Amino acid sequence: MKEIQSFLIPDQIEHIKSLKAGDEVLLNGVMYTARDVAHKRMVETIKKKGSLPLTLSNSVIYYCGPTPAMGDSVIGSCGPTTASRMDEFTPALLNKGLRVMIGKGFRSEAVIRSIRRQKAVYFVTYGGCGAYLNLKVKANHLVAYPDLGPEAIYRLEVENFPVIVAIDAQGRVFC
Amino acid sequence: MRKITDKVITDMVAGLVAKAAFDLRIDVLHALQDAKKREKNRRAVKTLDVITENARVAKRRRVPLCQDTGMTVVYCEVGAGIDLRGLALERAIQNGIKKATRSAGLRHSIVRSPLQRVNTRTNTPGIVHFKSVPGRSIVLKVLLKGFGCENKGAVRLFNPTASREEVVDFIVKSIVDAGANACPPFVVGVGIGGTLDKACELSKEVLFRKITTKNKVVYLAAMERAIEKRVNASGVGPLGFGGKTTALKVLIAQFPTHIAGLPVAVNINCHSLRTAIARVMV
Repeated sequence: MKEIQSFLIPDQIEHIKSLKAGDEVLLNGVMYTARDVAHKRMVETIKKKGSLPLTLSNSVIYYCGPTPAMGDSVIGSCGPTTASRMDEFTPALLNKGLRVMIGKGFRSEAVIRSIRRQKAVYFVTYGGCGAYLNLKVKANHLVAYPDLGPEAIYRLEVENFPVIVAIDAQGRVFC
Repeated sequence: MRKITDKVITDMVAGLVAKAAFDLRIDVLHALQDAKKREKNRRAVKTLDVITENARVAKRRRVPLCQDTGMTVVYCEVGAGIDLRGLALERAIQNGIKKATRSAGLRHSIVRSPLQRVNTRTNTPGIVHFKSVPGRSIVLKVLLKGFGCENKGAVRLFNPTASREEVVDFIVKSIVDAGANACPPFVVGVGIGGTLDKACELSKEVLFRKITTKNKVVYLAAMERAIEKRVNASGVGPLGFGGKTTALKVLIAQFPTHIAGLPVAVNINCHSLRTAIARVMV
């Protein structure tokens, strides 16, 4: 059985180039949540040559809209949402330096081509397991679009966040 | 005789919504555990482990099973012998959803207008169905429906001359196509008959059946088994990572229909089937 790899994001981001579709990985470091409307807004900003609320270069985006943090927890339930809804916006973000996406489900051919061109990676994590993934998030701060509530952009610090390579930097696809 | 008030209904709905969000149905949990014993694929076993561990964490720490706490669908069965004067049932039910959203920390997932997309910030409105039944009790049934799987639902209005095989093929294809996007292993609700909307309604309400129950209609039970066999041979597996467990159960409900039609609705539910039921005796 192949050993599970672990690396720091974004510090060791170049490690993604050596990953193969199907590899299991534990991520440690910083990722940003963004889903449907945040994607639409960022791409509109790029088209208008405006300034984005986060630096996309070498960044990690997690397709997630968490439930609110209750009591003394940092976040609520925080599993992945369906990635294909972000497909129409993804190539524009990859062109701006986005390197890692985390979600669930299939991607379009255009996204696969774009991932290969930009030497990026698409990970999937455990869909419908937001309570389990909650244990992997150690800090959570609002970054942008507070009017969107659960769909705002949050900066998450994660420890041993489990993912599987679904599309690797060579454009190979797992499942 | 107990006087039923709006507050009783609101509190009951709030309790049911929270229970559904935190506690995975026991029949579903057992089906996941049984599925794990049948899986040979290492990744499928691990994935089923994570799914059952998620249920344990959710229950113990009161964290929702899934961040998509869904659109709330409520079925309210009102006994014909109940005095309804002074009761505003629809409003009381909506208030119950609002209350649970605040106290249980559910996500605000509902937008006011589907085209303008402004969040209501209350997780309401939910969808409420009323039914008049004999007796002197009110039954409340709550379903939290996530949209990862809702988006993969399918409806087809067949010709009345379509064969059973054509219907089965359509259902199987809909389930396999949903694949990883809809978080398998699924519990699939199928509604056959009625009108376009009736078939859809059946396909949702059937999810309240225990997944261990055998369909009372013999040929529907056979269809359920045939569909389960084919989708589980597809290789999709838990979360689409491969394996033999793509559907835990297919549940079919039927209703009389028109001589000119044969509506079929397929309602995919993810592994996190979240329902809760309570009865108030009056």
